[in-house]
Amino acid sequence: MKPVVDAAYRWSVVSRIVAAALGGYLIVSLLHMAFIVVLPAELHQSLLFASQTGYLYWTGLIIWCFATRSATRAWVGLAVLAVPLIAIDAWYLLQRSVA
Amino acid sequence: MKQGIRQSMSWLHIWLGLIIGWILYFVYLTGTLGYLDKEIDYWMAPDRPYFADAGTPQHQAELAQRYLQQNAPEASRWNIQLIGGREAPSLNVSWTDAARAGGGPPVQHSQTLDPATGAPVDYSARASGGGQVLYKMHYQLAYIPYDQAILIIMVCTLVMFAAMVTGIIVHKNIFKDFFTFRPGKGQRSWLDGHNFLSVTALPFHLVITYSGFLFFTYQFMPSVPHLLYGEGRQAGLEFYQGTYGYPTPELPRAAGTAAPLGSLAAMLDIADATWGRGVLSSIEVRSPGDANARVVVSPQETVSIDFPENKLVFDGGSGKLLEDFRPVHHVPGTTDHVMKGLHKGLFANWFLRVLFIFMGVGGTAMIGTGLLLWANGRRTRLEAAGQPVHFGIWLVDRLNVGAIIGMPVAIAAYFWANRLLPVEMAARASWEVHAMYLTMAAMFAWPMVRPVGQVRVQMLWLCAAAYALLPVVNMFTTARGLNHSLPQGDWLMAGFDLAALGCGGVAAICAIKVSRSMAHATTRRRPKAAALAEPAAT
Repeated sequence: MKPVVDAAYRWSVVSRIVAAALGGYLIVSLLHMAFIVVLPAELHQSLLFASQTGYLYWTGLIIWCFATRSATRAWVGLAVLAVPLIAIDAWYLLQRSVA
Repeated sequence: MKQGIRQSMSWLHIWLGLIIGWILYFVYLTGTLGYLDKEIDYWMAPDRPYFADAGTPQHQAELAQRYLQQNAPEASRWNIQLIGGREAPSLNVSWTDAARAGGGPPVQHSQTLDPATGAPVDYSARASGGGQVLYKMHYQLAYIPYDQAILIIMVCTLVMFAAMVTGIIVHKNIFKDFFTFRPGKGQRSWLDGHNFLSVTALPFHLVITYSGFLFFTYQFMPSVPHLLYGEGRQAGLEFYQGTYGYPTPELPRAAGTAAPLGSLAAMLDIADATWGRGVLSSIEVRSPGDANARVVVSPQETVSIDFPENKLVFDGGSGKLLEDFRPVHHVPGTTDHVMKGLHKGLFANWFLRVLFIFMGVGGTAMIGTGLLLWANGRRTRLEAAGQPVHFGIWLVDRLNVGAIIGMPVAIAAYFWANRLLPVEMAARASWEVHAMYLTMAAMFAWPMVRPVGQVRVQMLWLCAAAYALLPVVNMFTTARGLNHSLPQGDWLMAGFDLAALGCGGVAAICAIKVSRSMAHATTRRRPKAAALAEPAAT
């Protein structure tokens, strides 16, 4: 029943914790900005909506990081989310600086 | 992580709960006391006389107006706080002097009036943090800079929320748990209790935790506002005003021509007709005695679930209702106000308030039982396998006693300090807080140096005494003890004392139960130990 608690297991736990905490923070911050682009509402409303719901997504990400089979998969999942978000945010910031 | 989703979520639930359990217990405990912040304020300010007959708001307003007209006719602003609802136990007036040519900040004055006669009532109030300082600890903590405390609390809130969601995933029988309690079965009973407390008030726990985020969401994740608005005070103000916007009615500047102020009582009649009786709470008069005088009437906090921003604006001279101010927010703004309103519970009438307190205490107990489960389960498993109890469990056992029993004792010390510290003492309010944390430190140290089982019972008895004796201390140190408050009908003062007696009673029952179960456990363990020893001897 009891899983083998060796060094590899401990490092996998550490890796998941970092993914859930730092990765989660980063993804939710990226989402904040992406919401401004995607939502058909005025800037403040979109921002407020993003901040109000942000911790739901974060909780989902935490669960993902610990539910998935390996720490690597946790990180890959976060990266898959981060790429389009970074693209949207970068596009928005570029547009803003041009305008 | 581990075998299946439920196992890995159970692992996550247990560890998330353990790392923040003690601080969360403190947050839930002091936060629950926040539902009684004004009642605690009242008990901790025993120097303020009790006014038995408050009279109608109209009568109070009349007396306040007369006093202010005589004593502060030149002021730029009057504020009148009427007795009524939870807001204020006394009729208070305050006024701001008109700005002087020499510059400098405008001087503020305040005065308590007798609601029956309008005569000024002077009393020297002891310096005290009251219920405000106590409940603010549930997000400011203590002895830590504000910004850092907020960050700690936000991390804990996130962990709490994740622990709740994983806890829900782990549970197969959310509905069945409502009706499941198997007492007297050790670990099984504690788990049933933990589930029962969590499940019955689940919406409360989820909303309280989630709405907790919304108070400090941008302190925690400031990057996007910083990118869009820039940093600095001005940018911050612009951002907050645009996002949250706490609108107030527009009021004109003073005209500079004198005009007599109309009857405030008559304006309150109109307010009663507009809002219904028993709603209004305070009056602000801008530029009294000026042709542009405006009277702004505010409702009590109980009037609505979101911020009670509704105001009635009257023309000071004619007493005519100029504006029924009801700000409308955009949808996320309203969501924000309602969520924060639910968290603060200011809207709650006494019945709902009692319910809130029960759920808050239930949540505190949910965390406490969770912490006990962690240590008990591990100890039982190790003992069954014949392995020694390792340091982690040793420590958690002791921290549990220090937190679960010791923190309530420390809060009692805060109340004791309010009564026992010399009234004229320097930094008195800070010493109330020091008394609380010195006691807490002692409660954490005690089980470290003495046998934990004994300490558990002794500390419960100490807790019982600390609360049960509070009414006695009150009786001997003030003229507001139960012998006075009950005949006077001062139910706020008496209510606190009686509640303290009740808390003492609960702690005493716990002490008796724990010492009995310990005696039971030792008599039960002996024959087993003997049976185990026998084969080894042969």
